[in-house]
Amino acid sequence: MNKLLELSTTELSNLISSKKLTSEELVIESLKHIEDNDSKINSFITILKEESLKQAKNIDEKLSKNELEKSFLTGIPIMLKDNIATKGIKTTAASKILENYISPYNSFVTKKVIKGNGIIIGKGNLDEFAMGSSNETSFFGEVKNPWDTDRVPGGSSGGPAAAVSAGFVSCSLGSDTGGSIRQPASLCGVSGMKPTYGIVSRYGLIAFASSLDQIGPIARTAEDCGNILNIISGKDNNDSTSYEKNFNDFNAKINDEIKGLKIGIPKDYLKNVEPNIKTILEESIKEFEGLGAIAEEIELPLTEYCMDIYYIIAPSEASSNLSRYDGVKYGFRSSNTENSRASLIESRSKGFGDEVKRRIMIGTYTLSAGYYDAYYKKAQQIRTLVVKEFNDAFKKFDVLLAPTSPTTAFKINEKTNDPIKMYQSDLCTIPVNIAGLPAISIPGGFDKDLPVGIQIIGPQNGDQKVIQFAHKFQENTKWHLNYPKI
Amino acid sequence: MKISKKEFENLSKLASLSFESNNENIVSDLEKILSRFESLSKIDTANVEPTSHVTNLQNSMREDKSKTILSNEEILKNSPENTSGQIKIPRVFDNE
Repeated sequence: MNKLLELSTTELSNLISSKKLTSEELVIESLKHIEDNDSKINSFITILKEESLKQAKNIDEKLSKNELEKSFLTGIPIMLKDNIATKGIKTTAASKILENYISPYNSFVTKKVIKGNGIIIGKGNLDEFAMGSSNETSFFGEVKNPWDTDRVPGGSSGGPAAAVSAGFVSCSLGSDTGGSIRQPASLCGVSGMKPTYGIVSRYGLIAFASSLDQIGPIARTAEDCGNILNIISGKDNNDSTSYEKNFNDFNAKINDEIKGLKIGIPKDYLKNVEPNIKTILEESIKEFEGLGAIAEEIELPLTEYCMDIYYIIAPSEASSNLSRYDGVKYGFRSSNTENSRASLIESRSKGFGDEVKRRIMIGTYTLSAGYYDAYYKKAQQIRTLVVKEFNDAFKKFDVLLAPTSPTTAFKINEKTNDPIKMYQSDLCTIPVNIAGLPAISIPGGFDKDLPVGIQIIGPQNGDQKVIQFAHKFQENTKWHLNYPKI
Repeated sequence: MKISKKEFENLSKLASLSFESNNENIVSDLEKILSRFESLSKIDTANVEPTSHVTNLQNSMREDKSKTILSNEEILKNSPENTSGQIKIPRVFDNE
């Protein structure tokens, strides 16, 4: 692999700014690496070869004439997860039902990337409709972990995480409903951040669970994540849950010391975590203590219920969101033309994969008459208590530090027959979505040659602090500078 | 917890999904998943307001003005079947 492809997005952006590197050179190297090696990883659903080359040339020309206002992403190849709408380009959500769907509009973040002259080099593979923790439910085949191709990359943003890990791109955008950015970032040894809910517009993100979904970056470093968030965040009238954040620069605090700041270690996150991952977490606590931070244990007893309330709330919202797939307006329609009801049922039954159908059925059950109060309402009431528990914790602590995933990358097919076991992959990431908090996963060490992520969680709108802690860690460690051989 | 055959059929109907006649796997998965939720009754939620949205934004309104987002033609491009500027679907009513 060309050394260029090992650089962080921030380093590449600086090289392009200072005219030591052209966008075309970078795009050519990326495309070559993708063409030579993505057949082993399967991280892309669509590769935009001609378009990216053309756009790179165009950007270089304008840059040479100083006709372009330079943004962080100018001339940088980026992958967008294939549940993010891209006008004129297939947007499949890795589902058969949207196999041939060409979006007639751009998502908010797509517009932001284009406006910043970022180069969308392709669309990333994912679990179907972002429902999964291993990227095995994709209609376009599973993604393989670049560290060991017999293993999963995590999910659902498996493509975006694997592509950064493999060096195909220095950065990508994913979405995170219950851990879908952070868990694959952990399993692939890269940095991935879910910002505070509402800071990035969901307009044009194919909806899974609207009160939990959030778009965020995956890249080599926390600093990269902050720089990308600066571009994609902002209030959008097309998403009424989006709002203007109360700070300007996600990276404004990265040079501030963390001396004297307080880190809470929630022990309830460690219950189902593998021993070697606990050891790595303990080492990272020592690292932070060495930098002057004060770490203390904290109890968050509702943690153990978060997975269950998530598997009520997310499927409930999904069953409602996915009712739009009817084989009428767009998407797959079955050849059954007997009548419209039969066509609807057959289009959905043949168009959705097993996991998606399973979740629609759970959500239909928990929302159905007679069960609504016992399940959906109950889950939302507990959600209130979870939010309160976190609020109380952040009165005492600046951030919380926890593992990202209870295990390292597991073997392909290891958990496909046991949905509950699969769901438990997100035990440490789900509570963050329940409360709408910002959190980042960064590489914290290795266990038997597989990367292990650590997770830094902040209070709502505490995104800067999350990045500050992550950046300090990366300034003083080298885990994020390891690259798999593929 | 058990899901009866009748209950499963009703659920499939509500979800507009059909399953192969051999649907034991999905039924037993659902039973296992739904059983887990029983533990939630241990938590006292009397007088607790439900949270549907976590950021406390209220009344996010926009001006009540119509605007054109996409043309008819652009929208029809993705429809499986269309005719004379309209989406075509199989018949809705039976002959009887």
